[in-house]
Amino acid sequence: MLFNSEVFILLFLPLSLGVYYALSGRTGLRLWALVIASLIFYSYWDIRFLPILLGSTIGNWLIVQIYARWRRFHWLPLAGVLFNVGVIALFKYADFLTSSLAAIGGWSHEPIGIILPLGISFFTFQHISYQMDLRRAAASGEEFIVHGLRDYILFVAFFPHLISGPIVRHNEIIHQFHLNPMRAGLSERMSRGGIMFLVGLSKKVLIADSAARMGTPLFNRVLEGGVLNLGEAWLVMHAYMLQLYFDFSGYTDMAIGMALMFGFTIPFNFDRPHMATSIQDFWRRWHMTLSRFMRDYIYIPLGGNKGGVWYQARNMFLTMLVGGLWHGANWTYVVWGAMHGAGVAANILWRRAGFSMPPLLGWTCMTLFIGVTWILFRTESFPATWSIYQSLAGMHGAGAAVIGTALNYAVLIAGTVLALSGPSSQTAILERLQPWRPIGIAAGAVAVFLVLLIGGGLQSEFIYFQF
Amino acid sequence: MNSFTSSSDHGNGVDWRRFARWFYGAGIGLGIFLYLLIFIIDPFDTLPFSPPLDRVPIASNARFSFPALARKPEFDSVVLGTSTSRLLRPEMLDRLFAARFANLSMNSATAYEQSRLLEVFVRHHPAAKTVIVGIDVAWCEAAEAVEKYTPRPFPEWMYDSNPYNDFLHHFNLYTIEQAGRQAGTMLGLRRLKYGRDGYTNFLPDPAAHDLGKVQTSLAIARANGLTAAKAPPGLDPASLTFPALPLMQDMLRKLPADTRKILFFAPYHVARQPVSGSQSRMEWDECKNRIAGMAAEIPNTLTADFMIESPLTATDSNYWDPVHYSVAAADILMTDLGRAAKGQPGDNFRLPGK
Repeated sequence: MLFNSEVFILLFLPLSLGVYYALSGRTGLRLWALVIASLIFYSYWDIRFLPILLGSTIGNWLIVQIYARWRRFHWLPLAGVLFNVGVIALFKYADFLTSSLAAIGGWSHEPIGIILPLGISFFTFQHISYQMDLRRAAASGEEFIVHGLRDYILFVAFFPHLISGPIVRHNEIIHQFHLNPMRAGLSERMSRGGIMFLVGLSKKVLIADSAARMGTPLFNRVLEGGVLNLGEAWLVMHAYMLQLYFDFSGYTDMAIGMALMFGFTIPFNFDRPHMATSIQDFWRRWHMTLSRFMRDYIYIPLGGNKGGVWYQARNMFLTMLVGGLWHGANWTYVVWGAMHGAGVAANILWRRAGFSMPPLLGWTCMTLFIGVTWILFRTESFPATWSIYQSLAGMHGAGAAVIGTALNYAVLIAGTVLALSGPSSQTAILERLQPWRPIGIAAGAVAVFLVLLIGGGLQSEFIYFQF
Repeated sequence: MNSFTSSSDHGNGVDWRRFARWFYGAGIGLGIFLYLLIFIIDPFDTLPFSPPLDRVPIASNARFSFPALARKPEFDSVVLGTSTSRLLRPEMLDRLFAARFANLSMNSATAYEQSRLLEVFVRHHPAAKTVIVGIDVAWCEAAEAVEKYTPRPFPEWMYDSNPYNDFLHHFNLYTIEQAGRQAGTMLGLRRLKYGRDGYTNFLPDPAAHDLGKVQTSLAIARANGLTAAKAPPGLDPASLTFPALPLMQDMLRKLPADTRKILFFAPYHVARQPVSGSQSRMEWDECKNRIAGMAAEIPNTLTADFMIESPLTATDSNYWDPVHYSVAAADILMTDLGRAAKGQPGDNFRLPGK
């Protein structure tokens, strides 16, 4: 069930909210209702994935329970982390690892054909974060709150963030489950949350899908062996930058908005990344909860910025390499991660050497770097990427892009202006929005228009669902 | 983070309550209003309990317009096919076959789409009198698998036996647009796209017929035929696969024995017909044989082959292009279909074994 579908917007979400608020006075029932709604949401995609979600969740919860009861098993939290790494290795990387080994060894290889369960990269990271925090607490002797099964399942499976994040930490959300949803501020939460959801939906169906209509045919042409001219190559790079940003940040806005409608705040994931003036700055603004996870659970354990600038650059490179692999079981993602690792490492070395760069030049370098590397991310093909790089350099001839409608171009320009000068959704909706009646009426009308718009055709999936 | 995350209001709770009312009220109110409007107009004439208004087939994509016609009790007979059957006029067929026809041929309809439409017709007309199917490449393409759909949307939910699930598919911009058109037609502001029996003369004004242009297109078709791939030596026609034919067999078997079934091969201009010795000719001959064999096993079924060299298909002025014939040619075709149904011979068609 996609967020951008009528069945979700007109049926599932209102029903879930209705039941949740009807049970507002009974905390236990209310939270179980939300657990059941989340499991129904997940099963709607493919019920075969449900045992994997539930199995890994209950498995993680049991590990913590056992550890909490018998403190002598100090190895348990680490075993928990390894258990999660094993799960993700099996479902996401088994084919990649065996085919890579077979290629090195020159053996023949039959794909194992394991289907990637939806959202596994996201919910497994939440488990890992929980186990890592337990391990740290155990090592430092700090108190660690052990949550009940219901709260733990809800922490992992709460449907707004289940499939594509934001990656939430247990200590950010679980305590909110016990707040009365009818507490003061309900109207404000429902209003801001609903409008945040609308903003995300607009980003997805008005901008990202429009950009895709221009970029996808050009990417397909290259993947089928064709070439692009100069104009097409620059257009495809631009269109994909916008598509990915508005697709993913749109999904995140919808998730944050829905969580707020249930009375919870979850962390932000984007902060105007295309206004960044360096690659390091970009990663502080893009998929922020993943960056935070990588920082806390990979970069810092590797040594972080201790040991000098070269160690810091190395640690950052390795962290980005893992981040690349997290996105997909393919060498293109490893190389993409390495490119970003090298970029961020170079950024660190440059800064630590005392050099500086004018913001406009920094922004230009960052934008070109991000655009060029997204091409590899999108095509998942080295030859196709190389072909587009040649086209960007004009090696496949000059020429203008003749694709899409005038409306597509208008949306592309509007998206560009918004990405480069607009406030972040959270600033605009959660801070600046005022309870002014005309805005409410207009937003209600926009909601109807968007539902009508998505009702007519096939809804496109969010890009980050594949990771 | 802002006040809404804390457990207390900071004074503007009343404002937000009003705002929430206007926001959700406007959205829900406008949504209900539009849905009611759609329900009342019921542009595709498929919603249960919608008011009994005088609706016409409105959507230019016939896949949305024809399921309602297939349900109408005023018909007892139907024509199915693609654009090569659309010019068969129900009014003339009614006289020839003493029946009440709807012509539900749709541009580029796949075999699957035609079979789905016939299912709807038969569900609502269990004692159908006559079913005429125009056969062209949609049925006789030699391939591994059948293409179910064209790029045109095909609303499966209109074709199933559950009319109530249609309510779930009406809240969208396309339906709003069609509702506007339907309302415009009801108010006399718009012309009908399709006739009430599904028939539409989709050809340009006869005055625009340019024989020179037609002959140019025929010459190109003829040249293409001459350069078409030869049948590979040793290729056994029996090894060819026509994935749409099992669908046809299934369709014909589901029709009552008393229903008269007429399968006619579309009268392509002779320039467009496959030339002797080509692979295309082998495929068409084999397909025709298999359909004739199928028809022989199903009661009350007739095949008539108009895809032959005949006065009808050899006269250039009968055509607008190599595949699409004129209204006058359609009259000849219908008259000949009537003769074929009576077992009478004709110059423009061939009956099996004759």
